[in-house]
This record gives sequence, structure tokens and C-alpha cells, in this order.
Amino acid sequence: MKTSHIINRVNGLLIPFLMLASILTSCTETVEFEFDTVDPELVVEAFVPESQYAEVILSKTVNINNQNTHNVVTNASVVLEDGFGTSETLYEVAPGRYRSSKIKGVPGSNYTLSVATDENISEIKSEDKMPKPVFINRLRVRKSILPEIEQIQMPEWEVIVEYTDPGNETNYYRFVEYVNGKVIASYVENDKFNNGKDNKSFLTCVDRKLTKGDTLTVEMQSISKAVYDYFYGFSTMNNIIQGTTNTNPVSNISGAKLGYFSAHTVHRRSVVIE
Amino acid sequence: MKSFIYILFLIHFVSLLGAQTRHTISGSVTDIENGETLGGATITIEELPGTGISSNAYGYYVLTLPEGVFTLKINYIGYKTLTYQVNNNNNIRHDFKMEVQVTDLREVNVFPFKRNENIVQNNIGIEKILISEIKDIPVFFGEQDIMKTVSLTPGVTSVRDGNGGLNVRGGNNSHNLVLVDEATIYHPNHLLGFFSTFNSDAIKEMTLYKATAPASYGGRISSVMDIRMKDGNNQSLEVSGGLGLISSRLAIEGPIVKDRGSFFLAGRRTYVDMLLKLTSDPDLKNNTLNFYDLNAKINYKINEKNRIFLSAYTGRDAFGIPDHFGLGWGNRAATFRWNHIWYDKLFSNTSIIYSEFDYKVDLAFEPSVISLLSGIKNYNFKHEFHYFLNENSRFTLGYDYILYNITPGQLLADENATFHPMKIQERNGRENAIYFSNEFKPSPKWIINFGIRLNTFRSFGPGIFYQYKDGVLTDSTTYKRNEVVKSYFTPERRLSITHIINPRQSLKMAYSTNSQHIHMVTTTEDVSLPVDIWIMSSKNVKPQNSDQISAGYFHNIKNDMYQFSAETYFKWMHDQTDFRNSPDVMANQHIEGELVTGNGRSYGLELMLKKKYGKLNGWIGYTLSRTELSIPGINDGNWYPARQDITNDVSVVGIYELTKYLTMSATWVYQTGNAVTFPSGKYKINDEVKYYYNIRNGNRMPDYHRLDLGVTWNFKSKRKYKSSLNFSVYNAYARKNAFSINFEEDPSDPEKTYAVMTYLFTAIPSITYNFNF
Repeated sequence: MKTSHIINRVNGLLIPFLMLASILTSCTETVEFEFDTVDPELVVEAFVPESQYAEVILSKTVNINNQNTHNVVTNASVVLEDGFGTSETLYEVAPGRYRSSKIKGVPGSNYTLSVATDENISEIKSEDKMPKPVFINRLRVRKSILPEIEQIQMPEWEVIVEYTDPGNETNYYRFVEYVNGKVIASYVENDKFNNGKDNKSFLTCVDRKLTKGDTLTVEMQSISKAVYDYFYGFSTMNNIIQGTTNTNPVSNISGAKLGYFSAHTVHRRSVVIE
Repeated sequence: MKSFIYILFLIHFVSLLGAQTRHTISGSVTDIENGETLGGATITIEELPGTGISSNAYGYYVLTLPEGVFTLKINYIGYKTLTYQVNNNNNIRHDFKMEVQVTDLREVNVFPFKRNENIVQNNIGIEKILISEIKDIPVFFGEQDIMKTVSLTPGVTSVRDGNGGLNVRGGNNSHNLVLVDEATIYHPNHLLGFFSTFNSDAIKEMTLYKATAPASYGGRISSVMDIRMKDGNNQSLEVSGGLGLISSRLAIEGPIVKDRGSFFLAGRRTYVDMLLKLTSDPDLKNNTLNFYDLNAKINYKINEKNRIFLSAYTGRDAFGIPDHFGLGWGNRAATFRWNHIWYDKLFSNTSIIYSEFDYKVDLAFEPSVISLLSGIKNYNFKHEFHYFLNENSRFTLGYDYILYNITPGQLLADENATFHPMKIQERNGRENAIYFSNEFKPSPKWIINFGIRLNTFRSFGPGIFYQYKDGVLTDSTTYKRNEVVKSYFTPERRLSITHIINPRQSLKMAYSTNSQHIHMVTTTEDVSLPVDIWIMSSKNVKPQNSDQISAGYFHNIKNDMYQFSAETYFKWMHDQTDFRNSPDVMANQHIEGELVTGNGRSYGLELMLKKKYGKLNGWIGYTLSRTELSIPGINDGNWYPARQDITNDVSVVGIYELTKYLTMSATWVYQTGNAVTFPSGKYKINDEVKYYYNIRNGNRMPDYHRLDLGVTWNFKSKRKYKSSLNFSVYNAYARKNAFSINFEEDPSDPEKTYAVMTYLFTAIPSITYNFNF
């Protein structure tokens, strides 16, 4: 998870600075590591996308050296309610994956989620409101104009999303980047520095590999502040300018430590790499 | 208060005991060759064993003696003992000019005098380092560094490589008051902390107060690092310098008027980017990566009673990728001082001080360039009197006024930019302190120093001031210019007592309280990047406070050849601020709403065995300590290890004078890995692997250890021209010390997780040629 404007830009450029500053002697190596083992913790990933059926994925954490991150929570009771008085118990389409059959996301509407599992005693609840949609005006992909430095991994491509930020409100966005339909990275940003402006967001992903004919898609989501804070929480970790303390992002779900509930708009654009 | 009056009464009683006719001898202690003042030189009276005084920081001394003939012995480390016979029948002025002990500096036999200052001085928790003492210690990239040397003493640690920050007795980096000629240096590091801002050519000495600093210092809760610049040679013109692989130095000093005034000018510059220019890589070639330091000082003795000093420092780092990115930061400081002797017993110093720190980031963002900047500056007026009642009692009374101005953040952008220019409101504060202290000797076996510093801090307008509760804005009030927003009164107490059991053994204890109104909040604890944000005490942020008690046992053996000390301390730190989880740091008007407040505590045992003299000298230091924090919302509010918690810390420093020309040296450090948070589990969000963190700072980095070696060859001097060649190896056995440990998925199998360690250095050799003429 990344933040896509100033902070990310500064970060992307400070890393080469660090490397240069250590006179190009910095090295990495894989080390043996004894990982803690702890009790599995519930993870709730819930979203109500605009004009799509809502989906909730329930899983549990696994130990780090576990070969499989797939640790689903089945037979849970997942209830979703929308702002129009519709309430529905989601059905399990696949183990750990619950989907609505009535409720689809509508901008401006409120959604309430409640989850009950066999193990969790505490009440798991959340609420989110879908913001108004904002659209991508233009999506550009070009070779990075940053200088290439042999010893340092620099982004090879630059992906630029252009959009017009509405000036009358505080907006929060999330961009999900797909290459040939596969998620490769996501980014969040707010309009603190550019409220009401025609904006250019640089999606800086260092290890993005693109070849001719690939389709790059960016999905722009308008998200709530709580969801922004959650994703922003990831960006502050292992990150030079925004702090180094590793913590779990603050979830907007009460009763669960990990995960989020997002009712968000969806607008996609694609570019075929030439 | 009662006991205070009682003590005062007691002092006067003591001083009246010897109410014979008394006269004073006063003057200054200086180096005969270059006129440098020698602060801390000791003067003892042979006929009166157990009495003695030391010169103050400006080299001024006063002795009050009964009538008669006395033999005075003046001692200063590295100098020949001066003997002076005085017929004390009048108030007299005499300046002592001391001569450097040139040959066999550390030979045992040339020191017939008592070398037990560590026993008989009231100096618990104090390390004094002279640049001349550390010139043979191995260096990093050819740069002698007083800050790096002080981190080799017990109680002072630097966490990992590439971190210039010093942690003194569990405090963090911002808890240290770093002064150069009394001016605060807010960010004393260059190039990620690999170098300090102190050019060794320009520095005379550093005194570190770990426990109880004198009442004349205030404003930080952990330590004071008082660094004094050289005054400049007032006898003859002198040039010195050094040529290194990545940096060079040059210093010129000389008399303005012989014996009365001198100037000093020193510069240092690194040229890593010049090395980059040699590469064929065109992209690498044009990058900027350098720093420089400039120190200048003038001093002039107007007459026997008045002396003025003007010192200035400026230094700046620059890093840039042309057309894309620029990062610059620097400190500027200037001090004007006036020493005045009112009459032989009353000395005063008046200082007018300015210091500033700022950083600026330039970013190319189509279609224009934007800049982010931030800074802090202060103006300081300090007026201090030293009253030398007699050789057993000395008073200090002073007034300290500091005006702070902080620009927390500003974004500059032109009309075409996709960003709005913005400015976080500036903040202003004033700190007023009056202080008083008295050092007295009720008997030759006891030295007591007590002091009080009455501090007020006021933050004032103009501006809109906010209040937050649990991070939520609850109130905002507009204040006019100079209108007081919030004021705090923080009295600070200082006490230290030395009991001299015998000339070989002493017991010392100290107690102090400190407060801090200028707080640095940082998210870049692991690297020393200059993107720290300074805030001041406000409606939301309370002053930080600390209480510290310490006790020590000092023992010299083998005719003071070996000096052993054991010190123990307990420090409580209150109202410590930290960011809440995932704070919004950059250019945030409401940064105070992102803070949480808790408490800290640190305790430890520090052992040191020092051999100051002889062909082989150096020290072994060991610290066993624990530093913990308790912050609501983190680890359920329980005490947990702070990032800088380092259980075991060992430093060994050895310097061996093989011949007159050849000196070898080695330092070895070992530290328990500091506390960090590693993941305890993993899960997937949006098909990306994420890590689950269970306990804050529940893990440890691998232990850190490193050996540095150095060889210095002193060439035969030709007339005045002296030169030496220093060869050093940093991290001689190429230990891969972890700078960071990250967790990554196997690219071919994302379900697999690896721990990837980054280390900055293997063995780094360097060579420097130093000269002086």
C-alpha cells in the first residue's frame, strides 16, 4: 500500500539518497529468522463497490513461515444493511467468501455490517458511507524520466492518473493498479494539498514490470476517511519518511483488529502498453 | 526553604571561620604557545592540602588566601605542571601560561603531581573529552569525530549504523542539548549521521553532562553536550588541515594583536559527488551529495577586565538529482560573548546567541517545482555572574531568555502547480529562567553543589490555537500578536554531593530535575534524516520532565594509573510524546492531534576502567541498562522496551604508542540488539500479503559489534611543519551489522516469506594526511 503523491515521491527519491549516502556499499541478504507464533487473529475484508454486489472475505492470520496464507473462516453469519432499509444475510459463495444477492453499492448511501463467527464472542460491527464518485480524466503510462542508477532499483515506468478533485469537500481516494487483470499495487491519497485542482497522481511502484501488449488498468475509488486511514496505515510502515514503527493499521471495524469495511465508488481506465 | 537558608548560613559560617586577613590572586590560565584559554585547570596550594580550585570555562580563576607565602601548582591534562610561588600580601592578578607536555606525553614519570581529579572533583555523570586526547582513535572515513568518541563512553549509545543520534541514559536524540559556544545545534549530523557537524579542527573540547548539569544549562531532559570552539592562536599564525578520501579540512588561526586577540577560521567539505563525477554513468555523474562546515571565531582582550568573543558556525548538506529532486538542510549559529571582571571576585559573562535549523525539499512535479520546508530558530540572551567567595565557595547567578520561532511546515507552489501553496502557522515561544547555584566545601572531604533554575515558558500568538481530545479537534481560539496562549512554570532542582574518602576513593551522588519545552517529533528514528518536526509546549503538549538520581563510586589504583568508576542511575521521564498509529505528519496543521503522551523510565549501571597515562592507554566501559515506555493504547498501557533499549553495551578503546612516531589504536563495541517490532503473523488484504504485529517492540535486532583499527604515523617535524598520516579501518572484521530487517515474499512463491537484512558497511578503510604549520 502506498500513498501516491508528495510523500511517495519524496520516499521514492530518498531511497536512492540513502544508498548513495552509504557510498554504494549497502547490501542485503536473506537471513535465518525465528518467527513468533501467536494465536490466529480474525481478518475481515468487506467491500460494497458501486453498482456491484457486496462481498465479505473472512480469514485468520497464519504464522509467518506458514506456506499457505489461506486460512478461511467458514459458516459465519454475515449481515449487511443498506440505507434504504434492506437487510440481507450474505451467502457463502466459496469457503470464507460471502456475497450479497440483493444489495449493490450506491453513492451517498450508508451501509452497516455485522459479522458473527463461531469463535469470536465480541460483536463485530462496522459502518461506512459511500462518497460521491470522482472520475479518471486520463491515464498515462510512460518510461520513467528519473535517472537510471545502476546499483539502485528505480521505477522503470511512471503511471500518471489525471482527475479533477471536487473543491467543495475533503476527498479520499484509492487507486488499485492491475496488470493484465492481476492486482499489483494499490495507493491512497487525499486532497490535503490539492483540493479542487486538476490533479496528477504518480503511481510509483518500483517493481512494476511491463512489456509490450500488456494491459494496465487503474481503478479509482472514492473512499471514506476511515478507509483512507486504514490503508494509509500500511504506507507508514517500513517507510523512510513516514515512520518505521510497525503497527497494525487502525481498522474501522469494531470487534476486529484486522481488516476494513469499505463502501466505495468504482471508475476504471485501461492503457495497452506500446 | 528553611533548609536552604540553613545551608546559606552554614556556608557563611564556614567562610567566616578563617576570618584572617585575606587577599585574592586572580587571572587567567592559558596555553603559552597559542594563548588558548584553559577552562577546568586545577590550582592547588601545597601548604594547604585539600584546598584547590579550578578555572571556569573561560579560563578565569580566583583564589582567596590568608597572608603568607604559598606555592601554587597549576595542572591541566597534557600540560606541564606549573609551580608558582606567591607572597600573598596584596590582591594580585597573575595569568598562568602553561606549556604543552611535548615528548612522551603519556609517560608515567613526567606527572609527579596528583592525577586524581576524577576523585576529588564534584563531577558525577560527566565526561570531558579534549580533542587532543582523541586524535589517535580510529576514525570513520578519515574524520575525527567528538560525537562518535563520546558514544564510546558508558551511558551513551548510538543505535545501529547510520544513525547519528545519541541516546544518553535512555533519553532520545531530542533530549540532548547540543551547544557549540553556547548556541544550540538542532540537528548535529551530516549525511545520515555518519558525520557530526563538529569539525575536529575547530573544536577544543566537549563536556557531556549525563546526570546533573549545572543550573546554567536547561531546556533538555537528558543531557547537555557543551562543545567549545578553539579561540585561535594569539601568538603566531598557524595553519592546519587534513586531506582525506572523501573530505578535506583547512584551518587558519593567528593573532589580531599579539597576546590580546586572535582569529580562527576552519572549513571542511566532503566531495563524494566529486567522486561521482569520475564515474562514467551519466545519470550518477551530475548528482549532488555533499556537506560543508564553516567555523569562525574572533576574540579580543580589550583590557585586563574585558574580553569579547564572536563565534559563528554554519554547515549545510545538499543532495540532489538534477531536475527532479533536491534536499538541503543546515544549522547556523552565532554567539557574541563579553567576559567582564567587575572586581577580582566577581566575573560575569554576557552572551547574545542566535541559532537556526532548517530543511527544504524540492520536488519536480509537472508542470512546476514544489518545495517543502520547515525550520526552527531561537534568539537567546544569557547573563551570568560567577562570584568567588573564597576557595571553598563559588556562586553562580544568571538569567537566561530564549525566544523561539518555529515554522512547522510550508509548501511552496506556483500558480501552475497541481498543488496549493500552504503554510502551517508559525509558533512563537519565550523561555525565561533565573538560576542560582553554589558549590562549596564544608570540609576538605565534602563538596556540595546545589542549584535551582526557575523556568517559565510561554507560547504566544499570533495564530489560531487548537485543542484536541483523543485526536479530535474540540476547540480553536484566535490569539493576537504577543498574546499569551499558555504558560508553564517549571522549577528545576540540581544537587550533587561528593565525599572524598581518601585521595584514592570517593563517593558521589546527584539529583536533578529537568524540563523541556521544545519537542522534536520524528518518524525517522532509524536514520538521521533532517525531516524532524519541532513543536513547543502548548495547550495540548505539556512540558517534558525528568527526575534523575544517580550515585557513583570512584577508585584509583596504582598511583592513579587506573581509574575505576561505577555509577548507577534511575531516571523518570514524564509527558513523553509519541505519534499515534499511522500519523499524518507532512505539513499537517493539526499535528498535535496526532500525538499521544506517556511516561518513560530508564535505569542502569555504568562501569568504566580507564588508563589515562602510559604508552598504552584507553578505557573499557560497560553499561547494563533498561529503558521503557508506558503509553496508553500501546501494549495495553504496560511498560515496554523503548526503541533505544540496549541491555548490554561494551566499549573498549586502546591507544598504544609504539614509538615516538608510530601510534596504533583500536576500538571495539558490542551492543545488544535494540528493541523492534517484527511481524507475528500474516494475512491477505486485496490479494496482497500483509503482516500482523502483536506486541510493540517485542523483538530484538541482532546484536551489534564492530572493531575499528587505526595507525598514525607522525613524520619528523621540519621546523614548524608537523604532519602525520592516519590509516583507519572501520569495521575491521567486516561484521554485517543489520541496519534493517524487512520481510518479503518470495517472488516465485508469494506464500513464502523471507527475512531480508540490510547492512550498510563491511570493512571500510580510509587514509588521511594531517598537517600543521
